[in-house]
Amino acid sequence: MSYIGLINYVAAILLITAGLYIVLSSPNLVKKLVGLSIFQTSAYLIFVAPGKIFGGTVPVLDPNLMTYSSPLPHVLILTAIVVGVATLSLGLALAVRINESFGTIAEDKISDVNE
Amino acid sequence: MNTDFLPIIPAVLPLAIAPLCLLIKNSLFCWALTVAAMFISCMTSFFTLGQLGTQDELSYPLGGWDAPVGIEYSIDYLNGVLLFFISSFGFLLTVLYSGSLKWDLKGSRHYFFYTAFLLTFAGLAGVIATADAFNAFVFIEISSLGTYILIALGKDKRALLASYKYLIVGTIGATFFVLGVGILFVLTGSLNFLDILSNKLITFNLIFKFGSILHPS
Repeated sequence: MSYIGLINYVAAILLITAGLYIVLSSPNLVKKLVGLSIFQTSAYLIFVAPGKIFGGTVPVLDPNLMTYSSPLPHVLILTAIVVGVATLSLGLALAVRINESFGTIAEDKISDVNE
Repeated sequence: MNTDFLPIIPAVLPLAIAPLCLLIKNSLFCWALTVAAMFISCMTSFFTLGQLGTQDELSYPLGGWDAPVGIEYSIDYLNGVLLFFISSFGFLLTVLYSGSLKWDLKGSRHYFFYTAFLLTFAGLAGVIATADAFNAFVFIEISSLGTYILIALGKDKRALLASYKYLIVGTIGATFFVLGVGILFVLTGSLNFLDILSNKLITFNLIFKFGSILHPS
């Protein structure tokens, strides 16, 4: 079994870990959202990668074409990207409102305001 | 009368009314629209339950594409009862809570509540009615976005922080859900719940191997 075909999964999992680490560790609310976006997008990479078959073509009916790549993962991820953009914009809007109310977007300073 | 389209009404009708509420902005008119949408959803799910006496399952293929290929909405006894429970609860909530909404929100911002509530309800009804794993993910995200807005509408300014934290955690959870859907799709080649279940190997592994993790013999 050749492991070279799994290299895209390794890259995607490294990106997922990086995004999750930014979400957990960064005190800045906007940087947290950036990490969340990286996390989501690299999860979509894992979803999209199995859709490609080497030698596979677009799914059109043609007597000369025998192997087809499934177009379904790409369509699904297009929807998921739209959902991710909606979540990201709502999170940024919340960050703007938090900045108006608390005067800062640093999480550690906000917890000082509460006490 | 053709009753095939009944399973899709509780999910689609509130989804169509929600942007209308955002455009109208009048508190009383938005309330009337929301109550009407919730009443129709409630009645539809009740009528669906009545239809289940004659057939085991009400199924609606979206766009005319049948089940394993296209997206299917299906109502059986389990999710029919759940759908009726949720829609009747939502109907009662819109009727009864509207009186005390003025203590929680300024009158000029009531339409935000109605829009977010309709989006949340559409998401929940869609999760229950759909038979497609990816469609379930999309509806989970719709209902989550609605609840983030509902939480952020609170009077206390800490509501914004709570909503932000919920957004982070909820999005991480939904992303892991879509990862799981992707793995199931790679293993079975299908997104339909029943189609995934008909793959005996996957079902065996899910039930017995997961069971043996929980109860090691």
